[in-house]
Amino acid sequence: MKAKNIKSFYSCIDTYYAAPSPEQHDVINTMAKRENGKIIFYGAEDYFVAHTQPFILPKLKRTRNIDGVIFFTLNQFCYGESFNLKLLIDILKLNISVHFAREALSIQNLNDLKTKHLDLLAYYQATFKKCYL
Amino acid sequence: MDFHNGYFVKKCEKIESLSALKLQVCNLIREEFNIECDDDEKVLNQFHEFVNEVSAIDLNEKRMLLIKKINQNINLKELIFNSFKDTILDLLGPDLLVQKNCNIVIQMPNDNNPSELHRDAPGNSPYEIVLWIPLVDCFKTKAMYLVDYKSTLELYDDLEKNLDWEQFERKSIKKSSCIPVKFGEALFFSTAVLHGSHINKETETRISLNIRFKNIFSPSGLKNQLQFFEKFLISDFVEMGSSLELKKLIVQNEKYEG
Repeated sequence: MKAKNIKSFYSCIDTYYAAPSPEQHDVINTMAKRENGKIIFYGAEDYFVAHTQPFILPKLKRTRNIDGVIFFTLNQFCYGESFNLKLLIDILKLNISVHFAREALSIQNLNDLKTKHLDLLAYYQATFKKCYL
Repeated sequence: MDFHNGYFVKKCEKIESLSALKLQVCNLIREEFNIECDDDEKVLNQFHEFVNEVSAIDLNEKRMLLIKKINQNINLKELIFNSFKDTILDLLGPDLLVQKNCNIVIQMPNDNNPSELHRDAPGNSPYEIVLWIPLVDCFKTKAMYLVDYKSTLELYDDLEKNLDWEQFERKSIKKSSCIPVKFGEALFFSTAVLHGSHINKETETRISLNIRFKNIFSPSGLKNQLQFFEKFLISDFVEMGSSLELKKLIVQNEKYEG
């Protein structure tokens, strides 16, 4: 049984990011504390398919009593051919909030996504659709 | 506006906003450093005289606290934007991000820690604009120095060939100009140009703000856009476009009743 008022989060680190797992977990833990919760389970996408994120949704569906999922960075939704908005919507429809530790950004539900969608889209456009560097 | 140098000085479009900002900063300085002086100009320009008994460690602590208070208590972003609205919109369009924290720099006479020669890009995006806003009149070494865009590129070409940083610094300083900027004006400059400040050899303190604006969709720098910036202004046009796309995706996916 969950402790009263303490939220349970699933932690999902970025397979592609250069920072080692313990450093990513530190940042994710900080976010969990800020959101009044703690990390209960953790996992990551397989390196060879991480750009399509096939692991996380089924994993969340079969993991009970999860209030939210904390990704290390929003970049994890940007490695494919387009921003993976569909996965984000699918997770929120499970009544699981989505958080991005590095960006200190939380999306509590679909209505919240409506107000923050442009920030995500613009981030993808500005960060992943450039060629000058 | 002529931007071929990579910078220009622009007169404030709404002096009431900038004056309100200056007054609020001045009052917080009075409060933080227990300064009993009614003359705003004196509080700012002669700041070093009011704090000459304070130890270097205490001064730095109070200065950090002041910066925090200024960011928390004054609506800096709004006041700065209103002061230079037309110029910012002309440069970047109507969909804007603003730096989350405005920087406040206090450069007292003979402080031997001036801002070293550097340029902000590519850490910062070359599509960002920097606004440097002095709260006092700045001239000679009390002002900032900048190297024009063409010379900056030549200097970096040279640096890449020779890898001699000291020579690069010497040549850059030689090519640089101190840009006089009065209160009521702002120095707009590209993140792509070299800049810094000399040791302030004048008899007055320089107190200045700097903040960056960026179009929401323009390429970001190496810094994470969502960490460094926040949404400031979005046009109805872009709002409409993005909400249509989202609505379509949610509806496609089944019975969401938002």
